[in-house]
Amino acid sequence: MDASHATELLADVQRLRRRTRLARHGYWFPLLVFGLLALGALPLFRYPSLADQVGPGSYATDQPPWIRGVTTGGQFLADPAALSLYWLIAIPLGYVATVAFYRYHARRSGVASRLRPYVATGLALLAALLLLAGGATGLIVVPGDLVVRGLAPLLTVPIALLMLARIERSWAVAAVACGVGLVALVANLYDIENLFYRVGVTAPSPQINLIVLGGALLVAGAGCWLVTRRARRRLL
Amino acid sequence: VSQPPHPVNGLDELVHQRVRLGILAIAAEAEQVDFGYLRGALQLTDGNLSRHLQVLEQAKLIAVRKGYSGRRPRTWVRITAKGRKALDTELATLRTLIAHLDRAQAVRPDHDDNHA
Repeated sequence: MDASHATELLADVQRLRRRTRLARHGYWFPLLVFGLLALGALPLFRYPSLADQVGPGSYATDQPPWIRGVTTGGQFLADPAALSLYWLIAIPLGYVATVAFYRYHARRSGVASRLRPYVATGLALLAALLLLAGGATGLIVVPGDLVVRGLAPLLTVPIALLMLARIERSWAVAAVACGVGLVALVANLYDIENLFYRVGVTAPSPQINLIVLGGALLVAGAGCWLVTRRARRRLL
Repeated sequence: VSQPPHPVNGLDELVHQRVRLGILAIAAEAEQVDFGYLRGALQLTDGNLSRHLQVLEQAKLIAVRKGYSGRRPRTWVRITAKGRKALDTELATLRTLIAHLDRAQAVRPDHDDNHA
């Protein structure tokens, strides 16, 4: 065997690996789904009205007491318990949709991915947030600044996406996860309306943080879909 | 003085075969791959691919599962831990061999000219 034959064989292997990796990439889907689910929470992002006020800093809600114990943050919004319930239903639904999409994609492309670690990471992070944010257990380990805007559950999405990057063996997915994670961190820690105010635009508050984060997920998802489609056409 | 064995001795004939190496490389990239995908990616006929899959399955380097997608029969191929190890060893040996041959050529740059 000569060096050129061995080099050719290795190049062949690399080409087949790249092609297979590309054929199974579907990471744009969870970005789009979680972007849509994020924007679906918009009606719940409002401050309490004066009519709800029953005393200084105290507001009435029509919910049973057991629901009030379930919270993932958003204490200053009109209905933090309803918002928490929304996240606790919507985020697992997002993972169910992602698994269904990957199964469909595997049937079409002929290449299946192992998604269990990704889903397990996402759900474990959500459960940890619920346990540590003070609602279910009374333990307050998560800093208040991180949960006060009611967007903390969306912070778990890009972290879980890092696990998907590992499964898909893609640095590009890891970079997208870091970018979206940065936006999620800013949306959780800072009132983005201040940035708009500086340029003379009045942004809807408190919805603007959710709109920016949901929009970032949608734009990232659409961009990744385009890039994947182009690369697939070029290589396959 | 005993010399280290030539890297070519580390190549496994079963894995080194071009198509079988391709099957293992593809299967290592996914949880499982479909027969149709392998056939298309490696540009083989059904019979040819089946024979190579049989060899790899008998050596326990892959596991083959037959199932249905709706009414359509489908065959899924999964790489085993033994198969993954064999692939890694083969690729490492190939890299060592390339480095070895490149070094040998660098030591004798005008080797071919002298024999021309």
